[in-house]
Amino acid sequence: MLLLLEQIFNGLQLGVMLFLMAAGLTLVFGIMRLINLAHGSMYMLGAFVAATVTEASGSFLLGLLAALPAAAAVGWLIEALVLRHLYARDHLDQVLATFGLLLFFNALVQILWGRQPLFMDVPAVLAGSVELIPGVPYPAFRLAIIVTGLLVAGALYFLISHTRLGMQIRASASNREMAEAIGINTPMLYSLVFALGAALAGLAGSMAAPILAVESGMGESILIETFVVIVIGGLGSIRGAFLGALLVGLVDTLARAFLPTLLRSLLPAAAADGAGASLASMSIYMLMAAVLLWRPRGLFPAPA
Amino acid sequence: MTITGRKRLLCTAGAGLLIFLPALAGFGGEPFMVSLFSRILIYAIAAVSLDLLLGFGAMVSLGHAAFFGVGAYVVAILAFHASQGAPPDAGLLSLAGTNNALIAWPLAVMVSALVACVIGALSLRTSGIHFIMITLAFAQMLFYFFDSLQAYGGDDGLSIWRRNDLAGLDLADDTTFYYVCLTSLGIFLLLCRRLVQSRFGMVIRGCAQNEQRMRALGFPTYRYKLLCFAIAGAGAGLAGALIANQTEYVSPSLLHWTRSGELLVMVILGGMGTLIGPVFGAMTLLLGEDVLAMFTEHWQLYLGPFLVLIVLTTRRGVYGLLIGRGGHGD
Amino acid sequence: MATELLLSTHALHKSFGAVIASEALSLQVRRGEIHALIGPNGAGKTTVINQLAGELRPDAGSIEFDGRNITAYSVDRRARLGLARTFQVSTLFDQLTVTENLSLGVQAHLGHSYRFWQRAGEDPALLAPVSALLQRLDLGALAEQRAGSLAHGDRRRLDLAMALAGQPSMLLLDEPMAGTGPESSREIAALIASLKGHVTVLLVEHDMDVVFSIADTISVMVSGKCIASGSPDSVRADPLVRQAYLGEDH
Repeated sequence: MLLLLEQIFNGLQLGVMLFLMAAGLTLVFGIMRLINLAHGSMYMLGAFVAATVTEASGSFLLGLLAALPAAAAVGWLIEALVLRHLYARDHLDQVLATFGLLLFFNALVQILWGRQPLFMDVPAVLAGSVELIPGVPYPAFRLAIIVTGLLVAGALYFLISHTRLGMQIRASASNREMAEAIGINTPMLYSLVFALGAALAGLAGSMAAPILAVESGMGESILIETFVVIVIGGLGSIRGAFLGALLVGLVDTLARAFLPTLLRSLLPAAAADGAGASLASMSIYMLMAAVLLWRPRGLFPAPA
Repeated sequence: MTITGRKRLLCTAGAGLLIFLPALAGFGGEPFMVSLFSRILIYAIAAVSLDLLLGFGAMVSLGHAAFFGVGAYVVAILAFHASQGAPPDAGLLSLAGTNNALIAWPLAVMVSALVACVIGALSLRTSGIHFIMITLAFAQMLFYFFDSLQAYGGDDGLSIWRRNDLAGLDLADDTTFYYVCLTSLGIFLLLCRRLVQSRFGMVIRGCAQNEQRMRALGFPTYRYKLLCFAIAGAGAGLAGALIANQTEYVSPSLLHWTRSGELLVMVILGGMGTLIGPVFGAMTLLLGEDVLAMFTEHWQLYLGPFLVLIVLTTRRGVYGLLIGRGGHGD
Repeated sequence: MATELLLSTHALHKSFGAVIASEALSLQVRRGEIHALIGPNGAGKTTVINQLAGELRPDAGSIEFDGRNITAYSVDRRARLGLARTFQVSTLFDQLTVTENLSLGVQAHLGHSYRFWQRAGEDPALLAPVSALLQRLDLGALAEQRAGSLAHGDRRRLDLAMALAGQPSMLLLDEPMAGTGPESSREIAALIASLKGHVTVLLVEHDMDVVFSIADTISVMVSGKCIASGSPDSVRADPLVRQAYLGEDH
């Protein structure tokens, strides 16, 4: 039971990270209709900058404060230099160009920081455990991630539904030409949205840095999971991204934690562990397949 | 010279180079070239199979490497079973194992085609961005699947003791193996050429240009696209069977989506929708990587922007550039 | 004994949000006739065609074709049953030649296309019908030209030829003369007229001269409803129609 609670929290933590990644990506899909394979690179850059600045300054907060604008700036830059020219192109061109960017960033990071992975310690103030539920200690840092993620989700929701900028975003998402016709500065809006998405990815990367190895290519696996979240949640929908992310985070974590044990009641131990591990690694994809069979456009697609 | 004339010249020159390569390599004192070119030929087969989807069917699949990897693993697992016996608790997969190419290779092709059928059946219910992401996700699922198979090496991969036996030929001899790869590519190209000009091929090309009209004419487009997807998967499976033999080693990295990306690059770089283009693309990319790697270990730093530039400025492809035509489809 | 009505709709209803595009629409098309559907812009004529063809699903009501209830049938299934259509904006296979375009149209109705070896361009079963179509629609001179490079009027003719390629029992024509010059218009009108008795035609058109000269039956639509249906003379004389659409000076 305690293990279950702990794993649920882990699932929420993964879910919240996935949401930070998915929010930016789904907005870019929904508004600019652009598929961006370099999104994971923003996550990676956030992690590297956070790790380096934290190491140099001794303060995780500083690391965070450096990583976010860094990711946003790089995002702004690639939008202006490359992506802007891709909005009108077909998806194949977008895939190729952003794949090229991904390769570039992977190599760049290796040149600047070397091939060895960086390891970062969890900030001292959050190094302990918190007993939210008596008897269930949970790492404070992971709890902080969950809290941060939920706060950001709340802030995004507020931004999209209660501010003028949010209205412009929604207008552009549903009808680009109309939005331009009524005077929305679309190019500027696109740059802003993209930079925002990049900053969110950078935030996710910064928070992941103390728990994972910071290395070239680290953005790739989370990118695929982000795609799965967006497909399940529905392209262009923040609500879909949030619920999809939590769903994916929980399914993945719980499957890895409990499938092997569950299977032991059916199969001999070694087979159960093997099959369990395999199935668990495939769980979110099977979830995606199931959702697609039932709702090809995702669970909460933005209105077309 | 006309375009057709240039095409003929280029293809003849290319074929000539490939046919006499082992001899040339021998004279030049660079026997490793035979091995390198075997690799190029194998990736060319995979790239050509992707061109069927991409260049003729307008199905942008970012998960094609999955079928490449599945084919390779089929061969490797069968070889493993043959030498070590099936692992305990393999259950359904307690096959006897074999080193006979005439059994292993067709099996690899069939399993890849089957997997492609399943993935295609789900993916083709979508289109556009969805389709790209879903093919990507399913391929990555298979990557994780093979990565989790501890019995077959997991992420360390699986070595095989020796190359398969192909009807008495000694595939351990690099030159013999090279010619087997070359013949395979030749036959595959021929089959693909007939395929794209056949009634089936016309249906696929019609679907790529105007699927709405195809349906209005009475074609059940989903079924045809699915079959095309399976055929392409089968081709990649054949390439996979060959790569397992070439490197005598398989690992989950064969299925990683960045490998799918490389295949995509080969097709585009070479010129999509031409079948021959991807062969040039494979040659250019793999030779280019090797050459660049001699100068710098960070060759990806240059390949990346190079790709971006190619996309932003032109998509004629190397083949298109060489024969002097405009966009693809001319 | 073939029924007299080839196509009929019963209380077809389709709305897009607050806009009602089709309201309790009941059309009846007799076998072999040329039935014109006219009405002001926005009356919902193209929506009707799209529902008949299967591109849109009606919210309520049913469609019967050749004795079958086809309301739930897919686009391609209806086409295979003999219900062909053209589009308001010609949609062709621009990268393929005129011959290849027609080949596809013919191929769709010659059994399955799971043939992987023989070149479609040399397939005798396809060449003959394609030749006949090229001649009939006066496209012979353009046979090897890319569809994408054709003049507008030629595209409309090719569009029509492709719809005819499968030897349909019924044609849905969505403004076949739109954007064509007077000569092209006349050719197409003559072609459609020549189909009388062989192929049933439901035709949406704005050119009143053409409509009144070739149609056997005319149905008038206004704001999603059919306000009159009958012979050209009866429609011309109908006071409701005069008021709503034709104007007093016709």
